[in-house]
Amino acid sequence: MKTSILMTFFLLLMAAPVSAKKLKKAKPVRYLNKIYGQVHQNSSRFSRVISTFECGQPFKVQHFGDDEFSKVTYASYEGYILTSHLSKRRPKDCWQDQYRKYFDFLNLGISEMHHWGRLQDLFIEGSVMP
Amino acid sequence: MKKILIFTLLLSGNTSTLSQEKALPVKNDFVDFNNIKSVLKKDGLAKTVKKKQIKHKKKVKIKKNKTKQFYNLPHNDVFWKMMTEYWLVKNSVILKWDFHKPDYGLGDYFEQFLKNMGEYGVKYKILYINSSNITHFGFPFGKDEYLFVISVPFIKIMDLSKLQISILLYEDLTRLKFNQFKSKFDPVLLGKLKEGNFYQKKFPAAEIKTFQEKVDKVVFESGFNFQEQYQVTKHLNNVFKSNKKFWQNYYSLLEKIDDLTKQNLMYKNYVKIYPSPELQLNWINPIKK
Repeated sequence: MKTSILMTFFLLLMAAPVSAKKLKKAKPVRYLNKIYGQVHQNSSRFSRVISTFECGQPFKVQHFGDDEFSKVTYASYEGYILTSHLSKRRPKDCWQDQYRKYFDFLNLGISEMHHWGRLQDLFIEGSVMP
Repeated sequence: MKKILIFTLLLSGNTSTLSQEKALPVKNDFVDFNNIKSVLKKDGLAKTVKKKQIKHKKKVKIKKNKTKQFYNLPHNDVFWKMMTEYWLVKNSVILKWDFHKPDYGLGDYFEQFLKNMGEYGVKYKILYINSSNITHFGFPFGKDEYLFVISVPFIKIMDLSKLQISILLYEDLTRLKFNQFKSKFDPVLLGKLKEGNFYQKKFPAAEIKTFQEKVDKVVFESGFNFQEQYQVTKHLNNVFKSNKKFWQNYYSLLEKIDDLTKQNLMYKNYVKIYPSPELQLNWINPIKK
């Protein structure tokens, strides 16, 4: 009896760090690389917009989608964003940072920020490379 | 009583030391640093002070430069992209680009078309609009980067094929490559809006407004002149001559546009922006040579 209790205790002790490691496994962080970007309720460009974010905004990626969208979270926000709008490192060419005062003086309203983010979603992008 | 006496004594002592200080000679060895300058020099204190002063000046300069950087005007390539997007945002109601539409698969087709044309190294964006205010238009969007705006009602009324849409966009691309859009803007005005800095100067708000109004005028009213149109049409004619399918589609596209502008009042303005389909047909008609 004593030995079985000891064995169980020993096994639990061994398993503890593994489960802790599993818990600690952080979700990858990706940064918004467009001037403004939008998180949608579903993985569609025309799905309801949950919120608009500024360039450089970090998101925790819950799931990299097979389609063009990834599931992300930020604070209490959870939704889908175009994978091409995310980058591994914080972008250094955000207009809001590069031309801070110029951008400040443009004095964009909430509606304009929303439309600017919307625009990024609706562009069909392509390139011709050899 | 005793306390008062002690207090008076203390006060008198204080005033006497003050008067003594005032009576001190001006040249006091302990106060005059000139006398100990040589000692300080030997200590290297003066050097340290100088070093610290230089360091401080550098710090101030760096801080000023950093502050100055915040006031940078956009670089040439960023400027066109930023201003075009800003213009689209400002005109979202007129252009109605925020609408639900199917993916027409134009992106991939246009890429293949450009490859056929040998246009490598080109980045592009396409934006569909749900308005006839613009039929099709190309905007500069950075180095080798372009934005094409195309009207869905125009595509539908003309019943355009993917190839014909691609030809229209290629026509717009050619205009941009010939610098026909950028040349419409006053270089002095552009100079105030890009490639510079407005630190301790007035923000060019009025100039931005003038610029945006000019874009309005070019896109909605004035468009391109006959000479520019001739240059573009001739170029496309020469390029398409080696591909019968492309050339025939270009010709039939011009015929369609010519009919539309003559029959449909909604598209009467087209001739003002791109003069004129009828003339274009004449310019490339092989029989009329």
